[in-house]
Amino acid sequence: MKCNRIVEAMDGYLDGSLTPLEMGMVESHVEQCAACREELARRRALLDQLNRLDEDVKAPEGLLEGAMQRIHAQRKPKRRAAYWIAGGVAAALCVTAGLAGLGAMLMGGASKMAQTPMAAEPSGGYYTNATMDAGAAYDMPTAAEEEKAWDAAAAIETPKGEPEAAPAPSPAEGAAETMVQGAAKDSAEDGAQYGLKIIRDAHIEIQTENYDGDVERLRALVEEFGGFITSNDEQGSSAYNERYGSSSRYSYMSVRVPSGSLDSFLEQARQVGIVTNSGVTESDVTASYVDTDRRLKAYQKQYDRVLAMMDQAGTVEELIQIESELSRLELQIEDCQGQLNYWDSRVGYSTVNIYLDEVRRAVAVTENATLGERMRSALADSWYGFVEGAKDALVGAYAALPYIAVWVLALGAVSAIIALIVRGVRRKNRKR
Amino acid sequence: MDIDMLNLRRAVRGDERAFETLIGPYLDTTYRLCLRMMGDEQDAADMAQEALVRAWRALGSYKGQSRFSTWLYRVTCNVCLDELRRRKNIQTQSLSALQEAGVELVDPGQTPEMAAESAQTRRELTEAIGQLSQEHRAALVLRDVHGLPYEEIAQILDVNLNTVKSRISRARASLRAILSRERNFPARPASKGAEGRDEK
Repeated sequence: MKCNRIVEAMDGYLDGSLTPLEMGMVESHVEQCAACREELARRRALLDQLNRLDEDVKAPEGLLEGAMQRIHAQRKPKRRAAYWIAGGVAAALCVTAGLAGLGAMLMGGASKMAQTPMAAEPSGGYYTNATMDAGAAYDMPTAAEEEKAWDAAAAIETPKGEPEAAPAPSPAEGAAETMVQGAAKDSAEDGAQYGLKIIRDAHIEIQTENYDGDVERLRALVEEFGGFITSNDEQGSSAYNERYGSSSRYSYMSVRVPSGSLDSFLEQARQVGIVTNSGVTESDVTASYVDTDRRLKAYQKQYDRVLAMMDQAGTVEELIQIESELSRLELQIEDCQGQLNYWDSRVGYSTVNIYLDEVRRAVAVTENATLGERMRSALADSWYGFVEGAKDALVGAYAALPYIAVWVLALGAVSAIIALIVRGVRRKNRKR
Repeated sequence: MDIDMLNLRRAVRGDERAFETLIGPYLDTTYRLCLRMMGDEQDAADMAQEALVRAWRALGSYKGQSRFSTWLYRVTCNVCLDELRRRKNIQTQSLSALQEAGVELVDPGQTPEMAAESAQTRRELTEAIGQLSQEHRAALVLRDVHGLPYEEIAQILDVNLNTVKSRISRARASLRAILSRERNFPARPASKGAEGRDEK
């Protein structure tokens, strides 16, 4: 077997895409041929390097936030544009229908038929079309200037509430802190005196048909448990929903409740609507807590000692050095203190993220549904869709009434005038 | 299905938070692909953001015909390729940007010697990948850096399986050639054979 045939097959060999026979051929050749063995090893090493090239690479912070800001900023003008476009389309269709009707009437002459509401059907149809266009226009690209203006507006908007990501425990300090670390070493044994520091957070997603009522219920519940709401982000408006029949309101609530009553709070919150997702996360920060507390105490001792040295400082250089050391220690102390306060707060109060999603029909999610259950729920879904569709059609037809009325009146008036004229002409003729 | 349908449906309906939840697990891979395609961290961050925005806009077109990750890869890949085509004349990045990338990619757990060595390797690889043509680069990165199967790469790049195979094998051959040139090794006659194999 020639070496270059083997070399050709090497990539396939490393990919594992060769047949067993070919794999065997490569293997047995490589055993005998040092040059090919070396080449294979080199290729394997390269592939290995490529495989591991990016394994530690993380997306930069703020990537998602930046993207979401752009997405959010781009949506608003579209919604507004949708209204304008819907209005424009509706107006244009009305004018066209009116002109067509007028033309037909003029050509048809003074027909008695003009009294019948023949414009009813098309008019209703146009209205529905216009409404649908509004939905379609939602995704239409907007003018660049408008986008820019909105980008600018988004930039001015204050950023949303700080995410409660735990700051990473500060890494081991420099060599100067050997004493500090020594103090922290035996922290584990003394852990008991601090009690367990466990952070318990929860999230819960609820579907509701009664959005306003349930928002109130959740608020009351939070109050009842001695908690508070840290942020509440509601989106979608009921006016929009009534108009377009979609229920896209949701509320993203972040609440804090005393950690002792987290479980009973969750139990109550589950009663509010249909829970689609929920969970509790626990993290034990006892070790880090004790460690930080020890470090804090050691820093404070060190600070006092350096402060005492100040009295003995002779030269200006020494004073400056001591000053800078003091401010460094102050920073460390603040850092530790801040971390401890943060943990105390997280341990004492659990954060619960509640996502309340308004749906027109809340459906409990059944896992491992049988065929019968699935069929039943599918039929229920399609029946629901059918009924909703029928309702929408009815609303559309009803909404068209004003247009119909206006045209019927106009047509009636015009045909009455024409009828009068015709009658007058006939009378004249008869007189002759 | 590799994503939760609930959040997908909500996101399609215009729920931004659902989109965030949906896209969260893919941020790193999206950024990694952009980094390899663009070769520069700033560009990569820009393109990754652009990819996310485009994914949001195009979310309605995802009908579950492939895995969500495949679809997102495809969107990301197209964003990068579009941008690269747009500024075709810019070939590789400046040396300082490379060094920056190399240095920042170092794993903090390594010893300084190991770090230096691996930073060196990474720099070389980064530069070599940057010299590949766009099509070759995309195929090689998806296969050898992201470890995707050939079939998935074919879907992402929207080409047939044989083209993917030949592109990858050509890309590997050129990568080896570039690396051996740069490491001042004389190119082995054996690897020439591999290059000659190319598209059949």
